Amino acid sequence: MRAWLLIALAGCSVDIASGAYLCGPEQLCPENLVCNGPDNRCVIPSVREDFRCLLGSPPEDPSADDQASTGQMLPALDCVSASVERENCLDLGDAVDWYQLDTPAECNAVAIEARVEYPIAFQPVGIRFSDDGGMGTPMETECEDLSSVAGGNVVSCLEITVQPGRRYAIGFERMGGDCDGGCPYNRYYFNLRLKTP
Amino acid sequence: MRAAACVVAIVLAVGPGPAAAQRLDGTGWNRFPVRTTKHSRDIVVEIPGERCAANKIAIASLAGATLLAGVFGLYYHLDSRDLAAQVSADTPTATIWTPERQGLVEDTDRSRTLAIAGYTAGSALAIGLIVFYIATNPPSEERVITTTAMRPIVQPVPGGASLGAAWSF
Repeated sequence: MRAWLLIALAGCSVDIASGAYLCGPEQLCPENLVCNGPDNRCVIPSVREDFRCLLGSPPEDPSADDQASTGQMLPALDCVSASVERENCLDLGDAVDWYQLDTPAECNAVAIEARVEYPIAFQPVGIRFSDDGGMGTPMETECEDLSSVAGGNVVSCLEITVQPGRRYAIGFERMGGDCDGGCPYNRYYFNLRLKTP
Repeated sequence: MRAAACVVAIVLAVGPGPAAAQRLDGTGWNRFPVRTTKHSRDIVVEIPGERCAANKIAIASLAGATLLAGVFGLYYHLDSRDLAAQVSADTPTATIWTPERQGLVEDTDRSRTLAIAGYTAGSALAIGLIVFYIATNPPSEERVITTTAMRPIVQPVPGGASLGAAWSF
């Protein structure tokens, strides 16, 4: 009886352990917890660390990839290709990363399917498409499969029919809320493949 | 005053027996003379005071308000507990902290505040009810019932005598 009474009286206030939740949009965390940079978990302030691009080895991020015409070259792809995967980071002063690819000339019809996944905690990552080496335009289409999205992450997708035998560039750029200047960075992981439209 | 009489009768198995009784007056089974004692005792009765209708209504109202406040507090207590259980976590959940969850926390705090308010009001009303009940308790009245002196009655019966007592008030 006494135990029941104790149970009934207890637990009417929220109790959240450090690390129990992943940070929400713009580093949103429960009261008294803050967003941890390396793993975007809500932790107590005393253990919080600053944002780091990746937990492992530093990513390749040449300064030239800030332009579509000088972006990192992806390996040659078949008309229906396997996925090319990369993970990288957009840090302060690095607003966009460009990747170039060539579509095979022998394809009858070809489409680019790209998908970028990033933590929702920091500044969102959008997709930009360029077909002329210029700045291109932001583009996004509906994602078909969201089942494999990691916890705490969101995805943006692009599927676009392109011409065979041409060079294109896909850019990933920071866009949207940046915690009022408090989180102008993000990690991202993308995969890209060619397919028949 | 309504009069009443009590008679305590005790049949005595002792005595002179029929033959001896007949000898006392020589005429057979006549009544013995009744002797009464000179001692009398007053009966003191305490009659509780009766509350007036307005007082009863006030007490009932206070009791009802206490109950309502308690139920109010309990409702929001359980509500806050349910809401808190939806967002409380002591192990990694692999889920994002969203504005909706933040809203649940705010709802929990609101319900908790209302529960505290309800319990506080209920406690205050309960204390008020007890104080009011005691303070307005009507005084009891003492009444003294004077009794007459006890009159013992002794009556011969076949084979012995009957001893009793009677008094009135």
